[in-house]
Parts: sequence; C-alpha cells; structure tokens
Amino acid sequence: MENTLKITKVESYIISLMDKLPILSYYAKSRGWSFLITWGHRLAGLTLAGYIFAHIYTLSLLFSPAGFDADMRFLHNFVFTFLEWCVAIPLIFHSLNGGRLILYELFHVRAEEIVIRFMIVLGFIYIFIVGFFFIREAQQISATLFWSITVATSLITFFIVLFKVWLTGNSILWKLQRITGSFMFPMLIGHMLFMHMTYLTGHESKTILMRLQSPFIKGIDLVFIVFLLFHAGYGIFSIFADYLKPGPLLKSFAFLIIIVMAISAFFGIRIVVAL
Amino acid sequence: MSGVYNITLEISRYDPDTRLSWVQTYQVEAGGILRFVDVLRKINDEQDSTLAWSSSCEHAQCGSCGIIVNGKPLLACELLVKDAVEQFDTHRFRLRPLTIAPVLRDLAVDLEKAYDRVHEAKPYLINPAPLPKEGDEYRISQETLDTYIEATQCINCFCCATACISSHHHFIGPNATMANIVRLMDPRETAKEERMDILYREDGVYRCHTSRACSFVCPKDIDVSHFLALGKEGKF
Amino acid sequence: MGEKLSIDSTLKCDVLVIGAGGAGLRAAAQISELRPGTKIIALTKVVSPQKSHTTTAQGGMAAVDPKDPEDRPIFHMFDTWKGSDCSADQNVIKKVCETGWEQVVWLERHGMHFSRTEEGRIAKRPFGGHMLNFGEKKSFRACYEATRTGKGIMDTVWDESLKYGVDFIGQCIATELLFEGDRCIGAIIFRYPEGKFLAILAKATIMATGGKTRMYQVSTNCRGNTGDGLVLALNAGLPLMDLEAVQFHPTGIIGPGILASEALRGEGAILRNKDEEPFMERYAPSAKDLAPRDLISRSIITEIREGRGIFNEAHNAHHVWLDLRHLPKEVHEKKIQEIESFFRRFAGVDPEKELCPVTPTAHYQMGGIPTNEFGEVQRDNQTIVPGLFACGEAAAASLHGLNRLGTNSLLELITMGKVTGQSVVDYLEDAKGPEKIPSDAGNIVFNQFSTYLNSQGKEQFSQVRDTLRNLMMEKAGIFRSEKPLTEAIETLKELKQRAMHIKIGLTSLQTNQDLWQIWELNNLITVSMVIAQGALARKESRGAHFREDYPERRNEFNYHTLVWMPEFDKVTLGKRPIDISIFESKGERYELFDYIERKY
Ligand SMILES: Cc1cc2nc3c(=O)[nH]c(=O)nc-3n(C[C@H](O)[C@H](O)[C@H](O)COP(=O)(O)OP(=O)(O)OC[C@H]3O[C@@H](n4cnc5c(N)ncnc54)[C@H](O)[C@@H]3O)c2cc1C
Ligand code: HEM
Ligand code: HEM
Ligand code: SF4
Ligand code: F3S
Ligand code: FES
Repeated sequence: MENTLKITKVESYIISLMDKLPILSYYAKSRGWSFLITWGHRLAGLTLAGYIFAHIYTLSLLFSPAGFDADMRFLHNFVFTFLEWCVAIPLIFHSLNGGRLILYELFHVRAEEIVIRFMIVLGFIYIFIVGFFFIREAQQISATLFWSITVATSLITFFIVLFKVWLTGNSILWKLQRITGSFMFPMLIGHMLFMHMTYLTGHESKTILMRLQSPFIKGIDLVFIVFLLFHAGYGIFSIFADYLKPGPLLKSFAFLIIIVMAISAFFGIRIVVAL
Repeated sequence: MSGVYNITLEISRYDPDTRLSWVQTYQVEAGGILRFVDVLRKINDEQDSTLAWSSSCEHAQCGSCGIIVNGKPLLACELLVKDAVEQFDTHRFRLRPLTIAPVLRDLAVDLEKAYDRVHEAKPYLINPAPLPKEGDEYRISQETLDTYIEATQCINCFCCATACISSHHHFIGPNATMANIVRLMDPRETAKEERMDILYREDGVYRCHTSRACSFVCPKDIDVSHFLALGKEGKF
Repeated sequence: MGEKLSIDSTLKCDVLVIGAGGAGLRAAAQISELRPGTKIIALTKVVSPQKSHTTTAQGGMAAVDPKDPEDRPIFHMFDTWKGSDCSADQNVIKKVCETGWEQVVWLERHGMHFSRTEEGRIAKRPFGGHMLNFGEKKSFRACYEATRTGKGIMDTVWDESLKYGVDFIGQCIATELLFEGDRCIGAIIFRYPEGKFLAILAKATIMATGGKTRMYQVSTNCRGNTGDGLVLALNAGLPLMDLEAVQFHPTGIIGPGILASEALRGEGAILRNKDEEPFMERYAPSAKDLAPRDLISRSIITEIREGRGIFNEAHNAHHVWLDLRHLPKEVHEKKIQEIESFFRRFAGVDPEKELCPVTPTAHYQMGGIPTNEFGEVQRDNQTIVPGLFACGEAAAASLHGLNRLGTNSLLELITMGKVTGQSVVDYLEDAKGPEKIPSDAGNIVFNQFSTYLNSQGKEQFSQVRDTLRNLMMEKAGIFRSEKPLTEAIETLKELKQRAMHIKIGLTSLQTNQDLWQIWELNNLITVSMVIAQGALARKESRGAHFREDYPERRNEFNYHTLVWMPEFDKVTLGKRPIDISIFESKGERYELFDYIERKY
C-alpha cells in the first residue's frame, strides 16, 4: 500500500519519535498505522464506557446536593482536574475516528491519510481548547445558543447518517451503532466543552440542577444517555463477538451487557427525570 | 547486485508427534537476492532437513507460502533477503506460522481448514444471468470490470486474515468476505439476495472494524478494506 | 520406525480425479453437468485446487472467435501443426481448434473475468506462432485475463467443481493405481498431514497431474511438478509418449526461473554476454533477439558453455544478461511495467538502471501419458485401459507433438478436459463399482516408504537432487547428443541407487516433508530416465528436441515415441503413428497439412 500523501517535516518527525516506541513501530511496520488506530479506537471506547459508569454514579449524588458539592470540592484539585482534562483525549480521538470510520464505510471517503491528518489536527485543537477553558474558567456564552447549535448539528449528522445507513442491508443494531455515534459526535464534543466553559456548569449542584429544570435539556440528556448506553453496549458486545464463537458463552455475555446497560440507563434516566 | 548477508532466523517449531513447540535459531549466510523460500531450503539442505514449511509455485501466484516475519504476514517466495534487511531494519528475523489455521509442523499450516471459510462465501456464480445469445459471451464493459477486477487478484494466501484485528475466532475473514463481494459486483450474478445473506451474517462483514491491516499486508496490493467497506455501504 | 505401514481406510466414489488442476477440474465440472449426482473425488498435492500450477499461467488461451471476420479455425489448426514440427495428431488438432471458442464462452459463462474490449466483449491479443491465412500475418487469438489467464481459468473450474459438490482431498499424494484385471479401479493415496494411507475405489479414474519439469536446474514449474502421475502409469505397466520433448523458455529469471516474457524483447530488449556483447547478432543476424525461442535458448547455452556466461553465487547458476536500460522511459512505465516488476521483486535489480540476469528455463513438457482423442489412456497403439482417462499437461493426446505453441496449452486443458469428462460419463453408463481393493494394494508405496524411512544411508538429499538437476540441464536439456545422453543414463542409474540411501531426518509419518520429497525425487529420476531414453532413440532434431549430432528433421522419425519401463531401467521402446487425418481428408488446403518445413 503506497502512501500517496506527502508527509510533512513535522509529521515525519512525529513518526520518527513514535518509531522509537518498540511496540508501536512493530505494529506500524507489520500491520500499518490504521491497525494501531483501530486498537486506539477500541481502547478509547472502553475507557469512555468505564467513564460513563463513574459519571452516572457521581451525578446520582446530586440527589443530595450538599454531598455532591462536597465531593466536587474534594475532587477540585490539580490531580483530578488534570485527569478530567485527560478524558478529552479518548473522547476526541474516539469521536473523530468514529466519524472517520463512518465516512470511510458509508460515505466512500477513502482518502484516508487526509482524513487522519485532519483528525489529528482537530483533535489537538480540541484538547487545547478544553485545556484553555479549564484554566480560564469563566467564559461568556449563551447556554441556549450553544445548546441550540449543538443539538441542531447533532440532528443534522444524525439524519444524514440515518438516511445513508438505513437502506443498507446491515443489521439494525449495527446501523444503530453508526446512527447513535453520529448523533453523539457533535453532542459529546459540545458536552465536554460546555461543561468547562465555566467550572460551575459542570461541578456545582445549584447550577446543574437549575439547568436540568429545563424540559429542553432534560429531553436532550435523555436521548443522549439512551443513545450512549446503547452505543457502548453494542460496542462492547461487538468486541466479545470477535473473540467468542456464537454460543452459550457469547449469549451470556450479551445478556450481562444488556443487564448492566439497563441498570445504568435506569439510574441515568432517573437523574434526569427526577431531579 | 547481491552481496552476502549474515542473518539469524528464529523459527517457531512444532512437532505434531510429541506436541512440543519451541523456538529454534539458525544462522544463515545468504546471498541478498535469495528469497525466504530459498533460505528455508538452504536450511533444509545444509543444517536441518526436518524444518517443515510450505510453498508451491514460488512465483507469488498461488499463496501457499504465507508466514509471519517479524510480525508481518507475507509470502516467503517473494521476500528477498536484502529487501527484508532493509524493510525490517535488522538482520534478525522471527518466523512464525500463520495464525489462521492449526499448525501441522513448524511453519506448515493446515490451510485446507482455512479454505472452508472461502468455500462458505461461494466464490462461484450461484445463478448466472442468461446470455444475450446462445454461444455469445455476456457483455461487461471495461468500466464495470474496473470496479472489481482488483479484488479478483486474490490468491487466498490468508495473509490478510492473519493480520486482521478480529479474524482469529469468529470472522469468515477479509478474503472470503471479499470473494462474496466480488460476485455481488459481478453483473452476471443474479442471486444477490443469497449473497447478501452471507455478507450480513454475524460472522460476516460486521466483524470488520476497518483496521485496514488487510490492505496493508496484501501481497497482491489489493485494497481489501475498500471492498469490505463497499459491503457495508451495500451498494452494488 | 517400528510400525507396519497399512491402509487406514477405503473411500468409494464414481470418479476419482488425480490432479485437481485446470484439466482435472474441467473434466469434473463436465461430468457433474452431464450427470448430476455423480460422486467425484478430486485429489491435489497442495492445500486447495486453487493452488495448482495452472494458476501461474500468464499469457492467454488461444481460440478462434467465430465473430472474427478474418480468423478461422483452419488457420489455427495449421499453426498448431506447423508449430509442432509436424508431429502432432491432426484429429486432436481439429477437435481442439474447432471447439476452442465454445470453451471460452463456457469459462466466461461460469464466471471467469476475461479482459474486455470497448464493446464489452472478450479481448484478444496476438501471440507467437499464431497467424492468419496460413502464416501470413499475426492474428489476435489469445483470450486473456490481464496477466493472470491461468488464475482466471483455475478459479473458474475450481469454483464450478465446488458448486457441484466435488469432494476435494488436498495435501495428499496419489502413490499407485489400482487395477482389477486390466481395468483401473482407483488409487492409493497418502495424506501427509496425518500420515495415513487411503484406498479410493472408483468406477473411473482421471489422471491430470500436470507438468513435470522439476528435474531441470531452472524451471518455471512449481515445486510439486515432479511427474508423479507419469510414474504411477509406468509402474502400472503403461507406456509414456514423447517425453523427450521438453520446451525451454529462453529468458527465465535466474533462481526462481520465472518467465520474463518475449514481450520484453519485442520492445527492444537485448541479450548480452559477460562482455556485454549483443551476442544474438552472431547467431541470427537478421532476427537477432527476436529469433524463435529454441534458437535463442541454444544460443544462450552456447555462450554459457563457451565461458561467456556470468556465474551467480547466490543461486549457484550461470546466466546471461537481458539489457533493458536503453528503452525509453515511456516503454518502461507503460508497456512492460508488470513484467519488469518481476526482476525487481525476484532478482532485486532495477531494469531501468541495471542488467537483468536471465537463463533458459524448462517450461513445458509436451509428452505424457498417451491417450486417444477421447482422453482414454492407451496401453499400446491398439488397446485402451478401461476405466482410466488422462488430460492436461500430464497427458499426450497429442495436440502439441514435439513442440507447443504458446497459449495452446490452456486451450488443451479446457477442451480436452471437457472431452475427457464426456468420455467418462459414457463409460459410467454401464460401469459397475469395484467391490474390494486388490490384496496387494499399497505394496509398491509401502516398500518405497519403508526403504526411505529405514534407510541407514549417508547420501544427502540435496546432493542427489542437485546432481540430477545439473545432469539433466547439461546432458538432456537444450542440446543433446549420443554420448552425453548415454552418460546421463548411466548417471541416472547411479542416482537411483543413491536415492535409495538418502539419510532421512525425520521418521514420523505426519507432515514429513523429508519423506515425500525423497519419494518425489525418485519420481523425477524415473521420468528423467524416460526422457533420456526417448532422446537417445530419436536420432533427429524436431520441435523442442535438438540433437547436435542430428540437427535435421528426418522423415523416418515421423512417429511418436512410446516408452515402457515397468521397472527402473527395464526399457521397451515403441512407436505410435502420427495422425494426419486432415491431410488425408483432402479438404481445403490439405497439402499444407503434409510434413511441411517449419520456417518462420
Ligand atoms: C509460468 C508458466 C506460464 C504459462 N503460461 C501459459 C500460457 O500463457 N498459456 C498456455 O496455454 N499455457 C501456459 N502454461 C502452461 C500451462 O499453464 C500448463 O500446461 C497447465 O497449467 C497444466 O495444467 P494441468 O491441469 O494439466 O496441471 P496442474 O494445474 O499442474 O495441476 C496438476 C494437479 O495435480 C496435482 N497432483 C500432481 N501430482 C499429484 C499426486 N501425485 N497426487 C495427487 N495430486 C497430484 C497437483 O497438486 C495439481 O493440483 C504456462 C506454464 C507456466 C509454468
Ligand atoms: C462521539 C461520537 C462517537 C462516535 C462517532 C462513535 C463511533 C463509533 C463507531 C463508528 C464505532 C464502530 C467501530 C467498529 O466496530 O467498527 C464505535 C465503536 C465503539 N464505541 Fe463509539 N462512537 C462515539 C462515542 C462513543 C462513546 C461515548 C462510547 C462510550 C461510552 C463509545 C464506545 C464505543 C465502543 C466500546 C465501541 C466498540 C469498539 C470496537 O468494536 O472496537 N463510543 N464507535
Ligand atoms: C469530564 C467532564 C465532564 C463533565 C464535567 C460532565 C458533566 C456532566 C453534567 C454536569 C451532567 C448533568 C446533566 C447536564 O448538565 O446536562 C452530565 C450529563 C451527562 N454526561 Fe457528562 N460530563 C463530562 C464528560 C462526559 C463524558 C466524557 C461523557 C461520555 C462518555 C458524558 C456523558 C454524559 C451523559 C450521557 C449525561 C446525561 C446523564 C444522564 O442523563 O443521566 N459526560 N455531564
Ligand atoms: S486479499 Fe490479499 S492478503 Fe488476503 S488472501 Fe487475498 S491475496 Fe492474500
Ligand atoms: S484487517 Fe480486518 S478489520 Fe476489516 S479492514 Fe481488514 S478486515
Ligand atoms: S509459493 Fe506460491 S505464492 Fe509463494
């Protein structure tokens, strides 16, 4: 496979750095970079899935706002803020790469190298911006405007993919994986960004609870959590299905995944509905 | 043109009689333009006649000689020593059998079993469209042919299947999936539905995660992942 | 090795195809089509029929398209007759040339991906020796699939057999034929992964084991082309025909022997010796590098013999250079890019800047198991062997006589494969199934294998193999004459003895590469003996057979050579007349089908 794209100096420098990591260069030479990216996608997906459980747990603390605030204060230190910022890495990587995969598989975008380059650049910018907000803390932006734009974009990507994928002969679950992904693409990127425009939006019970009174926000969050749990659940199942032959074992795992996701959905929905 | 290379081969061995596996190291002095099959033959001739490996055409055209060299599945009959030294930037090579089927002995793998997957994909025309006129050929424009001819070059060497992120347990494999897709694209095939059913089986195209290792390793330079993506896109 | 060798189990079927290559599977497909439900077992040495040697053929398959306003089957017949140096059988020529197109359509119909013309029809290209109007100008007759015609054909017949439910048994070697009286009833096979012997009982058996030129140092043939099928026939007391006719291709890439097509010379590539002298100017002042294949091969060997070749240490062989450096960039990039890439890949040279190492390479054997025009194997001129059929390169019907035209071989596989399938179906009509295996079944191979496994000898496998290859190349290769051939026969006897005493590394039966390679080596020695004997007896030069001591064709040799050798070196020679039925029919231009001169 010949790389038709000219590699820039910066890129070749980065590649030469990565070449120094034995595992990376071993697989890059023997299976190609796409192979490593796919592993990255898988690990990022699993990390995010792990994160969502923790996330639902912390959000459920909102049922006693004082406790939530106490915990948040406790977590508001350098280490945890840094870790929180780190979540942006798997998030943006998985999102952009998921977008790339959807483009590749369904929209005939085969100029891979160019897309990957975009992905890397956009990813860096995003991580940088999130970090910047972390430090600046107080932004002035209209929440309604922000969320209207984000949701509108989400709906657009959602419908584009929906129309494209619906007519194919793929299984419904597989289609939903792409459709939910496409909805979450602007949604999740926006979510993380928004939660850090001011620290309080994402970490102070009063602000959060107030926001959650809006039926509009409630609606979005409901769709969001359901889509996400489905997406993560099917994603995890699909990893299992790669390693296990169809049979009782795989069935039990599928069942287990459904249970876990259903319980998470219950708690997640309860937060949005009841608060 | 050639020059002599001193290379070290660490080869996975397996003895079906005792069921023991081990790694054996061979030191070989080889001309740069020897291919890996020549090197293995040299080992047979000069050091160890018991080392088993497979090949047939030795023209890179039959796909019998696939092995894994330093992690990369490739055809042993087209890898020149000097190119290997350059490509992997080392004089040490770790040779392993393909992981796609049970090992028979050393580097020889029971590809006959792996072939079952290709058979499942029905590489033939299930139900060819009627001819325009008896004794006349079916017309296919060069344009149509160009959309899938690349994929017909596949020699079923199973290098792609070995490299794939997901094939080892429950995936019909990139090459078998592609064999089906070729016939979906073939204007002479009328049994599209039956083919779609094969394509969208749980062990079919869903098991592909577009890791594109298939395209990367394919010795015939087929962009396998492109064809698999066509399968997902579902447009034929 | 304590255990006694024995037959593990017996399988029964209607038809046993020994050799699931292009020819064998075309026959199988034909049988399945005509007689659905026939139980067919097809054997191959490799893991899947798809890996058979047919898959490496590149150029094309000749067939006259009835829609072509210029070309006619009779021109093709003439070319084939002339190309064979008047030694092919005209009844077979007629049959094959007339049904060629029908078979191309069959292949297309069953899924082959032929290259196409602008109107979407099957495209055709010219090929050496194929002409219009009895040799007037070149014809476009070779149907092709890019540079993978053989692969296209192999895939198609494999696909069809798969579709019809033919049972493939891969990774096995057929080791002996079984007989009930004089009727063939199947074979013993050895499955090497498990190391087990199986008896397969069949109402009819087809031999299609393919090419057999691995006894030459450089050969385009695959690793398994060791003439097993021929030895099976010999051991059963059957004759072989025209084995002395071995076609060499002048420009094989040193080492692997891969063909560097004459297209390169067509574009202006020049052969050069050690001193970079364009030596073809001396041998063929007008045609130079475009002289016929056999003449170029002989010239190259003469250069090497007279010390003007180059020695390659890595492959331990001599060669000359093919010079492509002076060709325009455009030719490199557009016209010959694919063929050139072989040099890059297999010899590590850059043809745009460096000289390419080439040497004549053994390519095709015209002779084989004699059959009539229906694919029925002959015991002698008069009688056929009931239940035994043969087609493909293993058989000699004979379409090619002592010299084959390019692209005629693939044509033969498919047309004669079909004919053979048809004959088998007719035979099956009132054939009864064999009931039990003969009591001595397997004895031949058990003896062979125990000898190899228990050998206390010190002979090195590689030394015997290399001695054989050099011997055949030098003394029974491109140039032949009385003395070297007699010497070769003596050495072959010695080698046969040495081969019995090869030190074996592994005594297991499971995937024991040592074991079957020694068996194959023995087969090669046996076939080599027949080649040498046939070559010694044919005191003339004709087609691919060139005797330095008798450089002319001679009419008293207007026949096919038959050789029986039921035991090594117990040789009986015989003759089979050449069929000249087209000539005798006194039809259109029949005089051209007389023993005419072969001049281009
Ligand atoms: C490089 C190359 C290029 C060529 N190009 C052309 C071309 O352009 N046009 C053309 O017309 N011809 C061409 N030829 C010639 C042509 O390809 C062959 O003659 C033809 O493929 C032979 O086919 P087959 O079916 O007889 O045998 P094969 O395809 O060789 O099949 C033989 C089968 O028998 C099996 N077998 C052998 N021994 C045993 C055994 N003991 N037990 C069980 N199974 C066994 C083998 O495994 C194999 O499956 C070319 C040949 C070569 C080498
Ligand atoms: C933001 C937008 C997202 C997009 C566009 C997206 C897209 C995708 C796509 C296309 C796949 C399929 C990969 C394949 O199997 O071929 C996938 C897999 C997966 N996703 Fe997402 N995803 C997104 C967000 C998430 C989130 C938030 C999570 C976790 C909570 C997640 C978890 C997973 C998992 C676990 C997999 C399976 C990975 C694998 O099979 O290797 N994804 N995603
Ligand atoms: C690390 C920074 C993040 C912060 C501070 C944060 C904060 C919040 C807050 C405050 C809410 C409450 C609802 C709302 O205000 O809309 C929420 C909801 C949600 N978040 Fe996050 N989030 C972060 C990252 C993520 C990530 C990475 C994911 C995906 C894996 C995610 C998925 C969700 C979901 C699905 C909901 C809806 C919850 C429900 O309906 O129960 N968040 N988040
Ligand atoms: S697609 Fe390529 S790598 Fe895969 S089996 Fe075919 S030829 Fe081999
Ligand atoms: S390597 Fe495997 S994951 Fe898909 S793109 Fe190729 S089949
Ligand atoms: S031996 Fe046929 S591809 Fe290598």
